[in-house]
Amino acid sequence: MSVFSILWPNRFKKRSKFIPVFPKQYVRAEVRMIKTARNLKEINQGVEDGFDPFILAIKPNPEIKHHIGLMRHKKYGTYSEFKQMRGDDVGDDYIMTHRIEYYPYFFEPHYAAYLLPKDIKVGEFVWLEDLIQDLEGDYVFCNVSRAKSGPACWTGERFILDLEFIKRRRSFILG
Amino acid sequence: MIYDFQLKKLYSNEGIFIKDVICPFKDPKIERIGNLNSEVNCTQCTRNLLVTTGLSDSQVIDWVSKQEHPCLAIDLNDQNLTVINNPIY
Repeated sequence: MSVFSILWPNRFKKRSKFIPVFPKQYVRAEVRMIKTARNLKEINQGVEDGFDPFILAIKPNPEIKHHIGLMRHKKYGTYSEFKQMRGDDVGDDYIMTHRIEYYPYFFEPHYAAYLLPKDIKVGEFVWLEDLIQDLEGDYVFCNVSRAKSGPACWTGERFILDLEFIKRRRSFILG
Repeated sequence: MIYDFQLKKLYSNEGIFIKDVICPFKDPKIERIGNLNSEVNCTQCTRNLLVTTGLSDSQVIDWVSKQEHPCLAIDLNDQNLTVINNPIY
């Protein structure tokens, strides 16, 4: 037992070396849905209903951001904004002046919990209905939104998310 | 706009047919080019793409009529779009 493990016991905790092999497709009848509780009232309601809450902190991902452009009229000097930016072309009357980045989401308690059923097994694939982790989802032009839901595997201590499925999933139909 | 999920056809809100939404490639995807430039490409071919987020019906019909090989990227989260599972008659 070293000095570091006394100072930071959580960092040197042994993690299970469970590596899941994700399937290519999920059957809806076989995969269970797991709900998220976003505040204390929902967490305590889940405990009363027989669930086991798994609490996580909410951390914003710096790669998720939306843009707003401000443009100024050449003759009158008034400003106006445009949200869905398709390039820097704003017409002959306007000049592009500012380009503002912002994080578009806000979660009021900075924690949330997955409500686990008590008979969940190690290595079971589940569908997380409302993701707590911030992952890149859809993007339209330069606006990157967060992924809303996705599949994951329960290792007994934590969830391993199926990142490739979330990347592959698209909300656009091409043709 | 109205998208028919079964027949893969796109209509305007008044029921006028716009386009068949069929791609011959297996897994077409949208790809972002660069960081801040707002250009969008398809990974499979180099045709012109139009992303329909925030566009009205008449803007889409105008663009489709001008192009030789039009290709649409229909945003399923758009407020202007309704997805149905039955054909319109």
